[in-house]
Amino acid sequence: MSALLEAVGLRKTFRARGRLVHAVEGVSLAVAAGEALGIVGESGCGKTTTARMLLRLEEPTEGGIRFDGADITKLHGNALRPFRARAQLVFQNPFDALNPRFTIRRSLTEPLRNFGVAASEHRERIDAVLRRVRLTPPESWLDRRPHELSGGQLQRVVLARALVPEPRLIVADEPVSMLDVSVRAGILNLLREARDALGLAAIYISHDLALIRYVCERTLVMYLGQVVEEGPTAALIAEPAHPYTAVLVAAVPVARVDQNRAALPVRGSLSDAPPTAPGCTFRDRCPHAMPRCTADTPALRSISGDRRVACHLGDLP
Amino acid sequence: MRGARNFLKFLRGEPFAAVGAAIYSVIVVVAVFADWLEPYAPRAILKVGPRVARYLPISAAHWLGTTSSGRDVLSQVIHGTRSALVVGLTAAIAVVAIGTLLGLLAGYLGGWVDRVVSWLADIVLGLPFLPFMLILAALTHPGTGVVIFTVAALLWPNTARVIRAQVLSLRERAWVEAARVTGCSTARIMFVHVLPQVLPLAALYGSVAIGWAILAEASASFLGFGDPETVSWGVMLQDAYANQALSRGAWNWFAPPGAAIMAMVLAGFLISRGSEKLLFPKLAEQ
Amino acid sequence: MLLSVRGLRVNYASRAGVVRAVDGMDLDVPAGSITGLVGESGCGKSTLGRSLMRVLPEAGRIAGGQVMFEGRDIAALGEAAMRAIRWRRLAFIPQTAMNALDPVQRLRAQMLEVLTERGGLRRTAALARAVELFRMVGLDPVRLADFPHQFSGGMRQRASIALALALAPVLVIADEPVTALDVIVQRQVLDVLRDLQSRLNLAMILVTHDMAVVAYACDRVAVMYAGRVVEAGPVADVLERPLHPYTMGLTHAFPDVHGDMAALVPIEGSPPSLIDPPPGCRFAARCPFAQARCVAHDPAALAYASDHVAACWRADEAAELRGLAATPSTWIAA
Repeated sequence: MSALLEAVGLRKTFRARGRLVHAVEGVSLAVAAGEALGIVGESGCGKTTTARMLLRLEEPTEGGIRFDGADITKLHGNALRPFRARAQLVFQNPFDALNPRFTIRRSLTEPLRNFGVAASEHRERIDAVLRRVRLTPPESWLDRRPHELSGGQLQRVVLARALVPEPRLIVADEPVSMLDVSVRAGILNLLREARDALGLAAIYISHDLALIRYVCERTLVMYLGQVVEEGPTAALIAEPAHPYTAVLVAAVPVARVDQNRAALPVRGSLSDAPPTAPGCTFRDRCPHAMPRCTADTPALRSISGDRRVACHLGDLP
Repeated sequence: MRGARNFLKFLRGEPFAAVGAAIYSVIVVVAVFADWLEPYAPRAILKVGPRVARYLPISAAHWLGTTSSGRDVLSQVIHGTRSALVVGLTAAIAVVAIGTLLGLLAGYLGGWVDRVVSWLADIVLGLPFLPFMLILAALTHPGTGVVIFTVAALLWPNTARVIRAQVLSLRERAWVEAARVTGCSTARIMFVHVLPQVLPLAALYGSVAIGWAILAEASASFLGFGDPETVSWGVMLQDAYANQALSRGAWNWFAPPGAAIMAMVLAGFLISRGSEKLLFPKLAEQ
Repeated sequence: MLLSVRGLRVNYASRAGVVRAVDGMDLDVPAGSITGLVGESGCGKSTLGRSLMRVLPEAGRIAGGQVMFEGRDIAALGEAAMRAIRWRRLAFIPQTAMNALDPVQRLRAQMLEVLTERGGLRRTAALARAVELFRMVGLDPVRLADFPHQFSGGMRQRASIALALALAPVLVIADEPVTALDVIVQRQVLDVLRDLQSRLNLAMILVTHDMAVVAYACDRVAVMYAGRVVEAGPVADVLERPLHPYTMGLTHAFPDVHGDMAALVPIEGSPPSLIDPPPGCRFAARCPFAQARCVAHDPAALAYASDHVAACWRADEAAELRGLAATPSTWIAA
């Protein structure tokens, strides 16, 4: 299967308070048409920056991005517009994602107009997409403004706006974390339905593996700007190969009374100064760290057909 | 319609702004109906029998008396609302337009545009207001044009600075990013998405600029750089001063145009104070 | 019972009318246990926390009911008497730690201020206590010299817990203490709370929107909906044998990381207006099992098992309804 979106060696360096911050350090990934990929990690792991680079909202410091076979890394302005029409974003905070002065109609017309859809088709496309996100009947929603809607309804509009240009890829950055638990399921189900019905590729970003498991077949785990593990979501949760993945799995809250309440197999916190190269960036927090972890940096290596991990555990030198 | 309703609601909650808006409304009404309201032609030299009606005190015929050249003070004050409004509004619109445009460009585009705008603002802020206007008036034809140009050219940095700050924070909002994702050009994001959000703030600075422009016009006229053929409050003050109205105690001549200028400047200040609360609720709480 | 809330009503004045944010609420908090208070935004759970502390915003006021705490009715207490209890007996941990911490003061100064001025300790004793508190919440005492902005989100929340515990209260109200945190940090902060609870024999009210947080950390739970408690009891009973359809819905509303990949069941619709709430059961409009009586009459909260209370006309049929509630189609039809 050829990739719809492919990124090679993405790197992003920010300058903050005179210091260089390496937000993303060499991330490569590929998403096939119709596939859903999860990117999981804690805040500050670079997952959002990676997604923003993939959507060309952030300039990569290094690396290349191809979409549908074409190099889009250096495109700007009008040349980028065809890509924008085909790669859309679902925002984290529905309360801030819609122009507060625009009606729902206006917010949904904006992409159609910008992507050159004939005005005569607008109404039909908008009605169809509102039905798809279950805001029915469409005419009762068109003239409302964001402040009249609840969080769940707003997120449906945000999803509708992403779907209305008929994209081939959707990137969703923590799409339900700002919503009440009772309406989260509705949004996740809509995302799944839209994907199945339209054959979309999707990239989900979250810190919660349970959510990722519900919507993604394949998952990347990021730690401090690097991919530390990659594989089918179910296998990765059932048998984490990287100690950090194991921590993420153990930390997922579950709504059951009998559950493992043992302390997480991790030391310190993400904010402690990360160790410098060479060596594994997780070694100071890792319960399995060995001398080799300080001596050389683990590269992402294949451990079985479709699983890869950047860890020396189980690797024969 | 929505805007008008909101504005009325806002006035009810903000007595300061309501007073300011009331003063402006009175001035606008007076300016529009000046021809009917003024009892005499403002520049007509009135006579009592064969003699010019100089320095008449307040009376039923001349509610504010007359000037040294026998002109009716009330009629001049009424007529002066027109030039005050023309100067004030034109200058305010110019200030707001220039300031908003430059603030928007600097805030949204950043980089060298931002640096050039802030460099221009620094230069302009360094220029002294009155000397600049007087030299300009001396070099060209004195009159309202010079006043308006000076106010517009020298007062935009204040507006530009606050608009820039506002745009900088708006630029971080997710819906601005959403405009990018949905294919908007940079110009469209700036003028269709961001600009409407900063217009209320721009209008606030405009209401202050009106007062500034009128003060500037009065100063220029008072110093003799006004257009003596027009009837304005500044020209009235200059006329009164030149004819020793002060030493003669003819307060009925110089006080009314002075009060009118103060009222208009105050109105702008009151409106901006009131709307500050509306625009920056957090600031008002502190 | 350490804290006993009976028929509490809290109103907010708003332009549109009086919002009955808490409208006839009962809650029991035994000593030395963690009680979860769970519900969606706007259900009144945070308002309850704030009214127990008597720190309601200006527009809010306690309109009726009793809050018995250590033999006194807090709801009727004067501000001076309340000030004597607040922090010493009854402490608060806000959702955003930055609301508890002063951004321009070092943590040491903030801890010392509370310990000397409110706690009456001398400076050296206060310093020793601050070090002890920091150790208790898993922070290196060296960090007392830092400003809050030098802390990560999880560390700030730990510092805010240390501050709340400074005067050794018996009851701590934590308002969504882990909502803004990533899973790993969330788990670590919950572990700190659980550890403190058992070591100090604290009672705690943990306000949250997440059933999983309740399942992990709480002994008891009260489920709130539209200003009232609709179900309450020991966590094991409420989670495994929920009696109220809203609780049933909440337990199916979010994915599990292990086990079957069951389809998620959203609860369609949104809670009723609290300005003019409907006469019957407040959940009736969203409930797939609602009948005519549910819409017409308000169900009373009754005990169905020892210590397990629910306000639902059909709680007797709960075993059967639980089976139906696990199927997504049940909820979509509603």
